Amino acid sequence: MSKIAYIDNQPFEMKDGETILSFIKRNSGEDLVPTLCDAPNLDPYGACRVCSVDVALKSDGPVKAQASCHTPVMEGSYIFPSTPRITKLRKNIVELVLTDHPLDCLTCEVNNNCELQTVAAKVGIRDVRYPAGKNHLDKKKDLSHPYMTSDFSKCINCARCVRACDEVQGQFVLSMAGRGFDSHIIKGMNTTFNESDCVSCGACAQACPTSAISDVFESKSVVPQEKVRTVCTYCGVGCNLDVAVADNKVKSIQAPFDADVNEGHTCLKGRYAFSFYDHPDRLREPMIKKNGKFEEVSWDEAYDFIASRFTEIKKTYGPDYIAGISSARCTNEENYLMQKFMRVVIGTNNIDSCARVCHSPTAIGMQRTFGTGAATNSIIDLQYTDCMMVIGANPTASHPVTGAKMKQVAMKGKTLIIIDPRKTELTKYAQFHLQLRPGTNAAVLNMMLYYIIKEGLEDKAFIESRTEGYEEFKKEILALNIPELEKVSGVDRNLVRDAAVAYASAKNAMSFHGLGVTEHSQGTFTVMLIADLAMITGNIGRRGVGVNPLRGQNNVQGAADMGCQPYQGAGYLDLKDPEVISKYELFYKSPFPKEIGYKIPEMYDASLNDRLKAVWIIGEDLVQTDPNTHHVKKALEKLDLLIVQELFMSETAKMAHVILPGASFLEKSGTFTNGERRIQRVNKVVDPVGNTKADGQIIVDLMNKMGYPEPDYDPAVQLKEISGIVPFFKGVKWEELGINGKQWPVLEDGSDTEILHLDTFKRGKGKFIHNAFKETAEIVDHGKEFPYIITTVRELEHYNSGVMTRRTRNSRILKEDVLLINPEDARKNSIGDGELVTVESARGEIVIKAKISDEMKSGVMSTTFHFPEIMMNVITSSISDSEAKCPEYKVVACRIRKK
Amino acid sequence: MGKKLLLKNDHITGIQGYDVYRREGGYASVEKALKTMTPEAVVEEVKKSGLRGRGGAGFPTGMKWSFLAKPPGVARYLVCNADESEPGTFKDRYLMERIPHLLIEGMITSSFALGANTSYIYIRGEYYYVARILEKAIDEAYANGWLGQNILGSGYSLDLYVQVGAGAYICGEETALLESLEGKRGNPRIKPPFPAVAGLYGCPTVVNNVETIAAVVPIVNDGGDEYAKVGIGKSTGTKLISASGHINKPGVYEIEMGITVEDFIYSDEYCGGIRNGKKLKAVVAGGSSVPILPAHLILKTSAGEKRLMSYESLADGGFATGTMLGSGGFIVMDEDTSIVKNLWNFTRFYHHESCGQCSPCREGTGWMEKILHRILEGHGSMSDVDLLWDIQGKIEGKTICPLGDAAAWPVAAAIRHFRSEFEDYIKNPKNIRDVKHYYRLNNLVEA
Repeated sequence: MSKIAYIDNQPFEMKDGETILSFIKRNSGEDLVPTLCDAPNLDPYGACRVCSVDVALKSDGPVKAQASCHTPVMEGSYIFPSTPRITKLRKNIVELVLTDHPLDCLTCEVNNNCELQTVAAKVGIRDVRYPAGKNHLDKKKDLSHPYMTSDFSKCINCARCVRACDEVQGQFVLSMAGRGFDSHIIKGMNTTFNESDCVSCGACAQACPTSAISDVFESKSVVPQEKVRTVCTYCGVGCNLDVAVADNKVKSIQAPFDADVNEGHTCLKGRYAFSFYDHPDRLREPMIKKNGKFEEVSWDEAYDFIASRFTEIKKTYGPDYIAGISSARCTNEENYLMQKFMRVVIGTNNIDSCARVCHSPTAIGMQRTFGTGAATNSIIDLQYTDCMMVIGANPTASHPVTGAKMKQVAMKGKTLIIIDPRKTELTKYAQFHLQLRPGTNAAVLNMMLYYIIKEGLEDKAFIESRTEGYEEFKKEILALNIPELEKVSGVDRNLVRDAAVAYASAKNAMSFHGLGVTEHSQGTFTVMLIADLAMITGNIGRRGVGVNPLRGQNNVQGAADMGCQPYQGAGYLDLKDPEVISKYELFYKSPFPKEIGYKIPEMYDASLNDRLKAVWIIGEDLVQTDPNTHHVKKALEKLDLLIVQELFMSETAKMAHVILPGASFLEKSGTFTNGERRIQRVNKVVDPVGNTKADGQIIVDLMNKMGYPEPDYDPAVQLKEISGIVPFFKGVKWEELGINGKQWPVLEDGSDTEILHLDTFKRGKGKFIHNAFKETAEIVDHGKEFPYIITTVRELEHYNSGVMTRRTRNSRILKEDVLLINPEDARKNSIGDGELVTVESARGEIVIKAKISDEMKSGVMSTTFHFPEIMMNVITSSISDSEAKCPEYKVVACRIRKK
Repeated sequence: MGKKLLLKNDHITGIQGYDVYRREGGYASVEKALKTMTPEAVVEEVKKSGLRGRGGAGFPTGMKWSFLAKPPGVARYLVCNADESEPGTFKDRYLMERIPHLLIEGMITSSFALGANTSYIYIRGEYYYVARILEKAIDEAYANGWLGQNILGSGYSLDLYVQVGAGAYICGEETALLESLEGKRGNPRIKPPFPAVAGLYGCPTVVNNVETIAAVVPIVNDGGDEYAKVGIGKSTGTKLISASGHINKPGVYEIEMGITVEDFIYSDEYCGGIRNGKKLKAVVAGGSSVPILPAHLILKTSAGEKRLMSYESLADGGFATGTMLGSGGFIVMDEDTSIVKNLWNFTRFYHHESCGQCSPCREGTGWMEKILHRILEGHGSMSDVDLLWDIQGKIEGKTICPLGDAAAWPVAAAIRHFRSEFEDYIKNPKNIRDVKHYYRLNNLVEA
């Protein structure tokens, strides 16, 4: 039987636990009841009382005014949202609020876009009956911060900002101080935005109903000619963005509340770091290097030059002397086109992407154990999990929206296990922090597996019915030398045991991992051990569980899906299989290369050995970001033809023979696939600046130049082709993706998939594979001479090589790379905070400023490579993962001395 | 002499200390409950006693206790509300400083009944010295085995803590109290969930007033039925009344519920009549927030019956002609009292103590004070009285917590019963003499 309540004596079906406000909104429209302190992504607060409605418990019973936002609907109750009594009450309340609010609407930043103004208009305030009294109109503005601003004379004490800071971001910077009429918002310990611990996520500015908290873009002021929904280009979370446009310029960005991925939230990169797109430094014209200098040329000249050089090299040396590096920053359609260009037009499998240097071990590790390399579950599963295990990842900096959600889940009392050499922000919320030595993930995970078996916590039914290879696996695990593993990892075995027990005994446990797992010589093996942990505890194939790689770049999932890998074509079809080759040949109606191509690190070696002559790189700064810079430079210098397609003159672009100016995500359409396999629509917001072109169009143009007819770049067209060859894209149609996209596999009927491996694994049975811990060659070969370990990390404010974020105000918040060093190590080496340090490895040395911090434990240091001034990768090594060739950024043996 | 259940030993020298308290029969209820009763049986006695919450609302204690959710594996808490801040109310302070062990004993017996293994006494910051007295009593109770692990070998364990507030009236509201106890800003919580389901640290919690918890001691000792024999109707037992104002004998009195108001004011056993032989003008019967009643309505109901000191009789007639027993803060005003000035003083208090969360209360309390101040300054207009009436009506019942009601009721009642006095101030500003003087004298900042 459905339950009924009445609105103005009309019966409506109610839902259990629903508030009166949501009941009215659902049945009588969003705007019937005005509100001030209510916000879509915040818990009910009940303070403004503007949402009051009359409620009677029975027909003709006595009515009582109740705040509708937090009062549950009672079955059979009679709700009157707008009786004269109630409208008068609302009017009186808003009138009281206006007694302490400047009535300067005409000159106010949010004029015409202010919730207080709207509500005042709705309740019909014509007069404020109170004389001038004590007020807060003289409050000073805070303009200290590069992005955030405040003007608390406009504050109406609804506490939406405080709640956004607490409930959405979990930063607890804003709070309410003072009592009663003296109540006021403070930042930190009553300081400015700039001095506070604010992470500039902008949640408060978006939540504020007036202009009391805003930002330098006056985001709420904008009454744009147009608002375009698109997807953020920064990380693999895939936040939806509402971009306000006027006169073909981006005005500001807000986070839409109806986005499944980010639910009205995003970080300072997504929200504020967009001004790079029309920065004066943007490459605006194609250029060819003539006599050592770049000269602007027409697109036709650039295309002719490239086409003739490619043709020449192909003729002289063969197609395998040409290679392409596609970009995980580009759309699926562009990545698809790039691999098609290399394979079908040039005729080589030398195509790779930056997935190589981040999650390629995840792809291989999970393919071998589960059958597919993508995240098994979705971010929404955080709502259903009882235990989160985060390995080698710092989500609050690198995946801020997911990180913020994890904080909220942890604060609600769910178990959090962190395996990381650093004290990341999440460790504050964690029950267990296994602070291991970099490079020993496999040791710690092996110990966990050992204790799970020892304590008898395996999920025997799951192992029996859904996996294979367990008996042998178990034998190998039980034979482990635990004291030895404890010693190498530096983590107390009891702590490891307790964490293992917590993970194994949680009803639903979810694991997340980042580059701290993959960027190691044992990256792939470590991923397999994570998969083993999920299988041994039966944490696969339902809500709130799984193995979930936190994908780094916005479309790194898509670049791999589209076949930008030298050993798998579009849709991960194995190129060693002759049937696959025939399938592609049939599909493309063209011969298809049969030899496996070069992975990125192999390209360097090939160039140095005269086996590679030309490389076309889209949107990747190899020189700044790939390890062992000297080696990379030498290899690139040796090429006959280096084409770099970029937004800015990166360190790699400087070495190019031809530069092609690409378009940023704001200037083109397509799809990105986020870390939970969600294919989302990227919509063009503004026209490409200068003479730039969408990367996809550039590829198409070159295809045509090289004699291969290809229609112009149009995501709908390319997606149609992709759905014909990539099996899990079968039902993907541009028009049907909607605002929230679809998670692959998308079946032919268009239905999508939130959770993988529900009843069986992709490969049939999940496969237990044991991999013993093995010390990296970096430590074995250089550990004695270079006793410290440096590990490379990211900071919240900057993205990867910083080529975009450094050209926004983010660089005012974080200005330089620093070396984080433990106080004890600093003391031993007489290094003071802020002093310059020479860091030397077997490859070279850098000079960098020290920051003393207990984030790192003694013997381990960390730094970022966001700034080209430092060129951190001069010291990183060419050692890479044994299987996927992902470089070992995370372990560099080094020594330090004060400069 | 009326029967005394709580203060019968308050005159005994040394009753503050454990030894004398124990000698006089103290901790018998703990022995009885832990050794011979089940927790459910204790709750049953409290239900039978008809005891009602002594903090002001008068909700049946046994029923409140039976609402406590008991999910397995989740802690439950008993919190004693000793944040006695209602102007005109000081009975809890008297009880705690005179017979601290009575509260400790009540806490142990009640905690046992509720299955709480950790309990708190939240006491207002201004009672710092009383907190010291309680802490000393708790130390003595631990030393003598009444607190700690396995009390009296019963298997029941209890830890009891005193937490001092930081001087906010709002923290006497039970959910604001819980927030404050958790170390947060003392803002009331929205309900539901109620504390009985999700209270302290999200766990099921009972919050009871000091006097309520103390009353559990005689209830357990003598049985609920015996307790229910004292008093009248649904107002069972005795009640502590804080008597203040223009009377000959201000102080704390334990009365049997059901004596007449007239007796209470005029008999020598209690207030001893109006000071200096003046006439009674009005009474605020239950702490500053309850409606003020003029002399004729406090002594007799509108039906002409004698008004009694009980929940029902004082409320007779509703707010039109009645009031509330409230916390028992009985403030007596003689014929010379200015109702308007008195009201302004009350509104100053509520303006100062509003937490600022709900807009009607945050803004409205300030405006009520300002408007009354304007009237007292001689600048009022007739429409101000209507505006006051309007504002209180927009606060009452329209806020998260009852502080809004507490701020609104005195204003409504003063206008209801003494409107002419307001009009007199407005029409004859010359009658106003000493408001500015009052400010200077008390070193106050003008609103």
